[in-house]
Parts: sequence; C-alpha cells; structure tokens
Amino acid sequence: MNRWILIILLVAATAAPLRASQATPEGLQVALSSALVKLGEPVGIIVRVEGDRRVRFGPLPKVSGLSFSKVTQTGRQSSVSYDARGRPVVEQRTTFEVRVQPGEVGKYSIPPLSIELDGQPVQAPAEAMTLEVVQDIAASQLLLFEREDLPATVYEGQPYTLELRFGWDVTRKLADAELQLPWWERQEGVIEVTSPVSQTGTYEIPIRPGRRAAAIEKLPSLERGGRRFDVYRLRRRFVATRPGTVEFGRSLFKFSELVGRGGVFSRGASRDFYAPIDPFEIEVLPVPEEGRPVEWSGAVGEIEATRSVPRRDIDLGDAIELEVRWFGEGNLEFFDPPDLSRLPAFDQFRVLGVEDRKSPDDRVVTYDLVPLDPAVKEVPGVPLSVFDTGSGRFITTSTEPIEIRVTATAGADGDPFGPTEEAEPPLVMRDIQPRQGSAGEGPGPGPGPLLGGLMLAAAIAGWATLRGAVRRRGDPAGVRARQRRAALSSLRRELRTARGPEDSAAALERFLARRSGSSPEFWIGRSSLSAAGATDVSPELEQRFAALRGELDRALFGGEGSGGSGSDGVLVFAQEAVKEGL
Amino acid sequence: MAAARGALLLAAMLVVSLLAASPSGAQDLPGAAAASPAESGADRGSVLWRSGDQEGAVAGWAAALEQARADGAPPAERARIAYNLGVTEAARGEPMRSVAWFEAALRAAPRLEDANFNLGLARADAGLGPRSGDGLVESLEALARTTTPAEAEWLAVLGALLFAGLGLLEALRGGSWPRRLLLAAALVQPFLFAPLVLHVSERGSEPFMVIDPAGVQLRAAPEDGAERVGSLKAGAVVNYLDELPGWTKVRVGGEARWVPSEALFGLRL
Repeated sequence: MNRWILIILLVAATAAPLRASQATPEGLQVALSSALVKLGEPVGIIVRVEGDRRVRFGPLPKVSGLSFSKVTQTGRQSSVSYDARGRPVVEQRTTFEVRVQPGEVGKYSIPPLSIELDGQPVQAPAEAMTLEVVQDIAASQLLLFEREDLPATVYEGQPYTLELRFGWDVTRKLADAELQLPWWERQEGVIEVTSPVSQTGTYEIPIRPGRRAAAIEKLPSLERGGRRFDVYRLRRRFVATRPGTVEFGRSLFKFSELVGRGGVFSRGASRDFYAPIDPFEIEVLPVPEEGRPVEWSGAVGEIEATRSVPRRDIDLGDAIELEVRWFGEGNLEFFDPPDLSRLPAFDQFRVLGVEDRKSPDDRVVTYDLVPLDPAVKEVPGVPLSVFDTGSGRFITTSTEPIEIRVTATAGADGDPFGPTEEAEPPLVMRDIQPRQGSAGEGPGPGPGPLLGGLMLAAAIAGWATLRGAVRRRGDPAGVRARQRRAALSSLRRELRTARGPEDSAAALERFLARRSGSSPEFWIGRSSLSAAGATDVSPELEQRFAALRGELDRALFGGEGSGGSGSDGVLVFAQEAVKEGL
Repeated sequence: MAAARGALLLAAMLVVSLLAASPSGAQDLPGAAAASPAESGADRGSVLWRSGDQEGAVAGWAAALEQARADGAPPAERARIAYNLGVTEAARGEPMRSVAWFEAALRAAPRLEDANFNLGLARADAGLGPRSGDGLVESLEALARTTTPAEAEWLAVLGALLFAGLGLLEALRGGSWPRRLLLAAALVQPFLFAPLVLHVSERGSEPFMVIDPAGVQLRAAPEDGAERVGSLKAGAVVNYLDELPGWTKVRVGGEARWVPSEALFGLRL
C-alpha cells in the first residue's frame, strides 16, 4: 500500500515540472490570425519572436480537414526606445506565418506547434488553438458591433482608450454571446491601465481565445436603421510602452439566438450570427530626445496639476502636508514624481516623507515638508516636466505657490533640526617648538650596528656548542636528569615529614639514588661514597658521609641517637654533595 | 669541555653587551651648559616667529640648522629646527616645502608627534595622499621608521640577548617549553632586526623629495632638451647620486636620472 502511495507521489512530483515546462516561453507568441473565418477566407498561425533568437520549426501538426503551408517569415522589426532614465532599450521582433486552408465548414482544434528556440524545443501555444470555419459570417442586420475611433498615432507612454460597443435586436432572445478578439491580452509592449467599471449594469462576456470573462457595461438601447438594439460596451485604457505598431486583428461579435424551447435537462436550439470589425492598428511614436530636459521623469500626456495644504499657519518645526495632484490624459501611474529635496526652490524645507497614491484618474503625492527657517513665507510651486502629446514638445507644468506663515516658538533658534552633524573643529597646524633645554633631547648613541648581529651570531654559536655538549652527557629533559635536578628539593620535602632516624636514612638513600642514578636499595648499609662509584667527591665529604651514616645507624639500631631524626645533618650533607657535583 | 666553551661564549656575549650598554657617549651629549650658537640661532627664529616676521624666522632657523649640523648637534635638536621651519613654510603658503621639512624632521626624530601631525595636514594641503600606504610591507616599514638608528641598534642587541638567554635555558634544561620559547625568540628576530637593517641600508644615502607641485620630468642627461625617461610626482623621495650646476643626479628604480635641482629638497638634516 505504502509503495503505491510512494509511486503516486513520485509521478506527481515528476509531472509537476512537466506541466510547468509546457508554459509558452517569454518572448514567443503563437496565435491564429482569426479564430473564426468564412470558408475560403485566408487565415494563418502567426508566430512572433521577441529578440534576436534562433528559431527552427518542427513538423507542422496534421489536422483532418485543414492543410498547412510552409512557414514563411513575414517581417522583422527593430526599434529603439528610451526609458524614463534616458537609457536606450533596443527591441527586435520577427514574425512568421503558417497559412491555414480549411477544406470544409466545422470546428477544428489545432495542436501546439513544435518550435526550437535557441536550441530549446518548446510547444506553443500552451493549449490547442480552436478555429471555427463557417459558411457565411456577413454581419447580420440583427447585430451591432462598432468601435470608437482611436488615434492613428500615439507616443510611447501616452494612454489611449479602446471602446467596443456591441448589441442585438431587442426582439431576439439571447442564448449566448461572445467576443472573439485574437489580439486580446496578446499585444506586446502594451500595458492595460486599470479603469474602474461602474458597478451598476455591469456584466461579463467571454472573450475568445480562452473564453476568459471580461467586464462590460450595459448602455441605453440604441436605434439604428429602424431597429432598436440592446447595447453593451467593452472599454479599456492602455499605454504603449515602446515604439512600434500595435495591431488589432479582426474582431468578431458572435450572438447565438435562442430559436427553440429546451427541456428541463436540455438546451433549446440556437442560431449563430456574427458581426466583424476589420483589423486596425496604432502607430506608437518614440518620445523625442530633442529638447528633453534632464529633469523629465517619464510623464507623457496632457497633464495638469493642483496643490493643497491643510494648514498654512504653523510653528517652526511643524510639518506641512503638501498634497500635489496630477490629472488629465496622461500616463499618471508611470512617471516618477519630483524629488523636492533635489530642487533648489525647496532648500528652505526638509522633506520628511513622501506618500504616493496612483490611480487611473489622478496621481496624488503628499510631501511632508518642514520649513527650516521662520523667514519662509511660501511653499514654492512643484514643477513636473511633461512631454505634451498635444503640442509634441516638452513643457513644465507647475503648481501655484502657497503662502504660509512659520512662527518661531520660544527656544527655537534657526534650523529646527539643528546642525545635521556635530561640526568638527577645523584642524590647525601645531605651533613651533621653542627650545626647552637639553634635558631629554633624545637618546644617546647606540651600541653600533654590528654589535647586535655579532651578539646574535655568538648566541647561536654558543647555544649550538653548549647544547651539543650537554646532550652528549644525556638528555637534560630525561627522567634521570630531572630526578637528579630535583633530588635536593625532594629530600627537603621528605625530611619535613620524617618521624625518626629510619625515615631520615630512607630519605638519604633515595637522595643518593636520584643523584647517582642507582636504586635506593643500592645505598642501604653503604658508608662510603667512593665505594659506591662516586669518585669525584672530596675526602671531607667522604668523611662527612661516613660520620652521618654511623650516626644514623647508631640511632636506628643502638638507640644512641640525639633524640632527633637526624634530618638536619642529612640536609647539610646533601647540600654539600650537590655543590661538589655528586 | 665543550659545554664550558659554549657557556663561556654566551657569558662573554652578555658582558660585551653590558659594556656596550653603559652610557659611554653620555658625556658627548649637550649638557645643561650655556646655549650653543645653533641654539641661540633657533631661539632667535622663535622670537622672530612670535613677532610675525616669518621671513626672518625662516632665515634664523635655517642659519641655526646650518650651525647645528656644523656642531654635530643631536638629531632631536635638528629635527626641532626643521619642524619649526615646516610650520613657518606652511604659514607662508608653501605646503610642499612644509611637507619636506616635516618629513626631514621625522627622519631625524621619528616619534616627533607634532611633526607627524603637521605632516598629515601639510600633505593634505599639498594635495598628497597619506605618508605611507595601507599594505603590510608599507605598514611594517612605517613601523620600522619609528625608531632612530640608535634605538634600532639597541633593539637588535635586545633580540640577541633574548635569543642567548632562552638558548641557555634550552641547552641546559631541554624540554618542550624551552624549545618553544627559543623558537619564538628566533621568529621575532626578523622584526627586532628589521629597523636596524632599514637604517643600515639607508646609511650613506642622501634622500631628496620632489617639491614641485606639478612633479618633475626625469632626463637622461642634465639638459632641458635631453630625452625624457620618466617622471616623478610631487612628494616622491629619491636618492641623491651627484650634481651639476642646476641639475641633480638621482637614482630612480635602479637607474641614474637627472632632475632640475630646484625641484628637489634634501631631507637629511
């Protein structure tokens, strides 16, 4: 059981990346030129590739009832634009087309194309394309489908509004309706500007390809050609972000009329009607470089500005909330508002904070300004450099100055923030040094440059000689050598705890053993140092040892001791023995 | 026998060092006797400086420095006069000359704090960078330069004594700790001898500083039209080799080059 769970998990884990890899890669767009065509009408699969990329097509899919032509390159387009900071942005786009020839009326599902992009095989689009071929799609008298005129040219950054109106004869019963917009959400370099839709009379309509729902508004009914229509409106605002052409392929409004009565579990029969709008396009022009001021921060359009402050009479140190509102037909959401801290006119203010609120209708920026001086009498106008699409040149739109009164409160002195940093006192060169007597006028002469070196050489030589000589007699760090060096101190320690002549005699034997490198037992009963091998000792020391031994033996065995332990005599002998090099 | 010889060698070395350390030259130092001509000249410079006569102060101190050189005055006294000249040149608006005087003062008295402080200001005023770089070698060299030649010699003696003492311990006692201590003493020897090596290597050289704010062109021959073979920035220090009227021969990168004499400033006091 557990094994099956594990297998399922493994399959799920490996399937996840597979699914992820099916997404169409960035910069590649594959779509039908029209999702619905009349039999005999040209239709093709358009492939757009962004950037300078290597493209190879795999075998085209086989769909019964459809024939595909070879892949042909239909265009290559390069464009250079400039972003808000003035940096050039180079873009390149290559377009390919596969012509599709339907053989008969019907609905066809075209699988994704196999494309190799820079050596990476991909399948695009992510899902199969649906092509519907009908006998006739001539606009029915029963439908209304029209668009509001758009400007033929716009500047990059200039918003434009697309408005499609569609409707049907009020006498017809609606079974289904959809918009077929092949360009919908597929235009490169175009950003939709969120436009609020009124909540009253708001509906949704599916948009092909994908049948994703889009909000529409119901309009009052219209009369055209003696017929009255129920009318709806799809309205969106867009901003083109780069120069080039924005293409709108053929758009279709499909209306299904309910013609039969359905049962409880079945839908009634319906009849489809179509109304098209021919393809159209907008040319997007670059914002000119000529006359572009350095302070231009991307504002494009016909923009106006107003300002307001809630309080104009303040104390020094209080903040003024300067609210600047920009509005009009422009890219209100896409420019950088002026940085007042960089404007000389605002030198007498400190900008404490900026609140930026964006909306399609206006741009409201609130600056928290603190006057630095009670002499400040007004808040200067806030300038914004705008590329005016009406006149085709750069202008500066500015708010009106606002008169204010700044009152210095008690204790306030100048800049309410005080100096930004503790000012460092300037560094001043130290004064001359008059003569102060001869005391401490410097060190005496050195020992000479050679002495140090000679001493070091001698030290190395002496160390090497001495070390060699000492090592010839044995390792000075060996156990015996250390015991020999520590013999006297060990003897002292033992004598301090000796309770009688027996302990003293034993301590003496251990001392002699440590100094001579023999065992303590070797010295038991011996009364001659030379007899034990210590030939370098003086006769006096020999005599002293014999006397000491005799004294200890008498104390031990004859009971004639002085009453003490004899430790003093032992210690004195040991010290002399060490001096003589025993 | 060999051990006795080694011990004797070490002992002799200690005796020699102690003898050398005795203040044999103390009687040569200026005593508390009456001021020398150089001192009185320096005092005159101070008086003129206080009275606001900068030109006079410069002349007074320059004469005092000459006298100090002739008298063999201690380096500290010469450094003091050079320091005062540096202060005066800075006040006269001659930052490069001021830099050169402070540099000269520090070469004579490396730990003259006021000169070090003023040199930093003068270099900044002249548009020069810090006196020494941030690298390890530069830092070690700067550290070594904080000693006088005499101090460097004593430092070397100290190093030798340290080695001798620890060598004695290691030779007689053996063991790991004496061996480690001796190894540590051996490792610090390069640092203790480095100042001495630096001073010995510079002994006999005549350092000159480029004081032309624009720097100087190096010529292959002592003529204005001679081939240009390089250039030196203001503040660069080169070693003097020879001179002809108006021209000084210096060593740059191991090569002999000619530089206009008015662009150079001698740093040896």
